[in-house]
Parts: sequence; C-alpha cells; structure tokens
Amino acid sequence: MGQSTTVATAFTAIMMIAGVSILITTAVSGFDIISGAMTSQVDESNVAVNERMEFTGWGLVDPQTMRLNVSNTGETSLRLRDFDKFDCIVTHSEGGAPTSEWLAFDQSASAGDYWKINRVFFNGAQGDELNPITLTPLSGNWDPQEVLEITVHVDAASPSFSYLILATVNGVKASTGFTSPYELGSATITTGSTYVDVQHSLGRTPANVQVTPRSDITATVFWVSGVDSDGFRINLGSSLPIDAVFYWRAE
Amino acid sequence: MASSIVSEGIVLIAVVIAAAMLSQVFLTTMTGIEQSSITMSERLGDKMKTSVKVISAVNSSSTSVKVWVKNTGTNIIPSSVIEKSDVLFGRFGEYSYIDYSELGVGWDFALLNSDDTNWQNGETMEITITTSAALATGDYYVCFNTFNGVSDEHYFSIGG
Repeated sequence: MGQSTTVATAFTAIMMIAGVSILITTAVSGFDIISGAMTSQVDESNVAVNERMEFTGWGLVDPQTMRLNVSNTGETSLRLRDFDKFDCIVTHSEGGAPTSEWLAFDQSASAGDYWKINRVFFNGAQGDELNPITLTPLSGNWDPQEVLEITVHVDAASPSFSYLILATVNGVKASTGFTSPYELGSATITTGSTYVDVQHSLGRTPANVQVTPRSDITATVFWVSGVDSDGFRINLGSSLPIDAVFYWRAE
Repeated sequence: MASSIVSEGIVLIAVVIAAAMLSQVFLTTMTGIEQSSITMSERLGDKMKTSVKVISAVNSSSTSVKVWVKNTGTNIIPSSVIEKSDVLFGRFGEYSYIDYSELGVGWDFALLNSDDTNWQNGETMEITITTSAALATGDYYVCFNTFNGVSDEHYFSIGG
C-alpha cells in the first residue's frame, strides 16, 4: 500500500505544480498585455494634457485666403512631419449659406482647398532656434512658445470666413472666430456731392452704424443707407459748399 | 505474501490510471482557463489602446450631417471593421441608432488623411449621416462607438 500512496502523491504534486505554473504564466502574460496598453494610454494622456495651442491673430490676404497666427502654449514639441495628421476645419459662408469643410495640410499647394505653414516666430522675431523649422522639405518641430503663421485657402468664389478649428494628432483643439466686434474710420463727402460709400470688413451686416459729422452741417440733414455685409452709404439732404467729414463706427 | 504483492500491484495500477485521468481533466481545464484569460487580456488591451475623439459636427445640408472623428489611440482599425461601429444620432434626448449605409439614408465614412484603408493613430475620418427627414433647428447629439465599445460623443446645434 505504501508504494501506491507514494505514486498517487507524486502524481498529485506534479498535477498541482503544472496547474500553478499554467496559472502563473497566464497571469503574467495577461498583466504584460494590459500593462503595455496602460503604458500606451498614459503616454497619450500625458501628451494630450501638455499639448495646447491658441490663436493669436488673423487677417485676410484676399477674399479666399486667410492668414492666422497660432501659438504653441503647451509644453510639447509638435513635429511638422505629423502636420498632415492635423485637422483644419473651416466654416465659411457663400451667398449666406454656411459650409464647413475639412482642409488637407499641403505645404506645396497654391490652388484648391488647403492649409499650410507660412513662417514661424519666436519671441516676436521671425525664425526659431530650437528644432528649427524648414518648410521645403518640411522638417523641424513647432516648439513651445513658438508662433506659426499659417495660410488657409478655400477655393470658393467669395467665402466669408466665420470659424476655424485646428486639432493636433492627439485631438487637442484650438478654435477662433473671425468676427470683428466693430470697425471704425472716417469718410468724406466732397464739395458738391451728396453721399459717400464706405466699405467695411466685418464680414457681416452690422447691427449698428454710428456716424458723427466732424464739422457743423446743420444746414442739411444726414443719414445712413444701404447697410450690408460689405459697406454702407452716408447721405446728405443737399450738397454742401465744403468737404463734410464723418467719423463712423460699425458694429 | 505472493497474494499481497499481486494486490499491491493491482492497487498501484488503479491509482496510476486514476491519477492520469484526473491530471488530464485538470490540465485540460487549466488550458481552457489560460486561453480565456489571454483572450480577455488581449481584448482589454485592445480596448485600452483604442481611443477616438469627435472633433466637430455640422449640418452640411438639410438632410445630412458631417462628423469628423479622430483616431487618438494606437489601435489600427481596418475599414471593414469601421463599418461595424455604431453611430447614434438625433435631436438632444431623442437620438436613435443609425444604420451603416454606403448609399442613401444612414451613415457612411471616408478616411481623410490616410494613405491606405486603415484608420491609424492621428488620422481623421469624415462621417456623413444622411437622414430621411429634414433636420429641424435645435440641439443635436452624435455618438461614435467603435467595434470594441470605445466611444466619444458630441453635442452641436443646427440653426434656422
């Protein structure tokens, strides 16, 4: 009986050891897979948390082209060779109908719908020193505190830009609107004339237009007409023997 | 004495056979558990490596909406798998499941900055949702859910 007990015990021990080793192997490989995924997730979160950008200015180059300044306000360097993975979604209206479209990054483009980099600034001066940017061929990094001047072009007949979203590879977004709160200036109705047409670049019909004569024109009346998204007209009831200068503010 | 040896031998053989059978059952079970555990870990790992972000959504016509979704994870998703994703869309509080459809009512997608048919890290997909009825003015909700249950949602409004 002693020999059979020994054999049974040996079998049981082998069985237990095999089972435990399988369990350990399984647990280790499971942990390995999960820890790899967690590391990747944490890395992405870290990057996303430290990545920030901000629009600091914009201007129209022509009716279809816009220049924007965007500053890297985060703590990460963004590689220019990844810019084709950036998203640029621009909203504009044409004939009153708003349209949003995703624009491709194309540094060599000069026609069609595209966005590209114009130049880089650091500390208010053109150029950068850290991971210097070269536009042809595209290389370098957009480092913290550097400002990129980008060009956005939409091949529509007369787009009125209203909004733009820029998103990095990690989905960190910055956006800006293109609506000026107001615009002001002066206009002159020359001697013998009864009106002057004033152009504004608000890109919308102003909600309010204020006009103030610079000199005494109590001999006649004045008013504003034809207010639209491009301009308005300042009228006089009758022509004056002097140039009538008006200050205006459209908002 | 001789009968004792014989009976000892019979018991020994019986014990060996029983232990072998038990071992086989035990090891088979353990292997099954191992496979399940590895599969579960791989799925969990895949899910953790999957991340998507809805960048923006707008109406592109009276019956269609464009949604831009970015792959912010490291999981590479083939186009054939993207079709298995779920899209929920509708007015705020009244959304419903939208069927995938390459033509007509439903949702369809196009990879925007991809060189191949795989949706990789950093690449953006443009989803077009086409509805059967005109979209009324109001607040809308869209949710994109990947094949393995990772989702992101976005609220936007449609003006008059």
